Amino acid sequence: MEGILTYPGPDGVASFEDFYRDKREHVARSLVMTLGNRELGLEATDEAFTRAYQNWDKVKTYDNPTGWVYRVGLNWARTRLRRSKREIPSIYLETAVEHFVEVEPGLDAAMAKLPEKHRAVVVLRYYMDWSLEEIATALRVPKGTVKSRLHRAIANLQHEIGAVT
Amino acid sequence: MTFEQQVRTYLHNKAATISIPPRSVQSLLKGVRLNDALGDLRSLGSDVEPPAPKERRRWWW
Repeated sequence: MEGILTYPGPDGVASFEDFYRDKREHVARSLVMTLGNRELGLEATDEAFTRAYQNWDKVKTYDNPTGWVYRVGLNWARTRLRRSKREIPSIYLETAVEHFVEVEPGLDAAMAKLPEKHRAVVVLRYYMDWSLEEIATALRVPKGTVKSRLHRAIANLQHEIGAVT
Repeated sequence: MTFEQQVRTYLHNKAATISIPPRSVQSLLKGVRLNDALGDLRSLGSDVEPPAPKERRRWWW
């Protein structure tokens, strides 16, 4: 996956349509995996891209427009979750472990137990393949915070797997 | 495979199980335009009284 900092690239400024077409699926999957709920993640994606469209003149100049969209979607979903007292169904534990060959079978359950902030850095680091700097820019937190969250998240996953297998 | 590599593989596998329905940019922007239009209508009608609610039917009659 290309580095986010290269977007829109040296060829010139990309249109919103190109950006939407290129990034929507990755952003949507990242938000679904971070939030742990498909419907909420998809809604957050639409909301975030809508705001990106409305502010495209500004957003397209950012080093990291994909990170901006991800953060806007995540913040929108957090607000929505705070207002709603309902428990949302999780995507984790829904998929049979045999689908995931060559990986620890307890990872799905372990991901479900991670705090959302830790899941965010895990998803951005290992699914989006972003560097610590890129994650820090996207989440607007210091690089050291990303590093410590990632360290704790990996330690928690390992601990959970030890506990569940 | 290191643990980090396993997490990476797991996430890519997991992502592949998440179906993302296609949505064109036109469809997304249609929603934006509808919202804008609704906002305009609300601002135009801000001094207009809302319609009176219909009289509730009394089914026990």
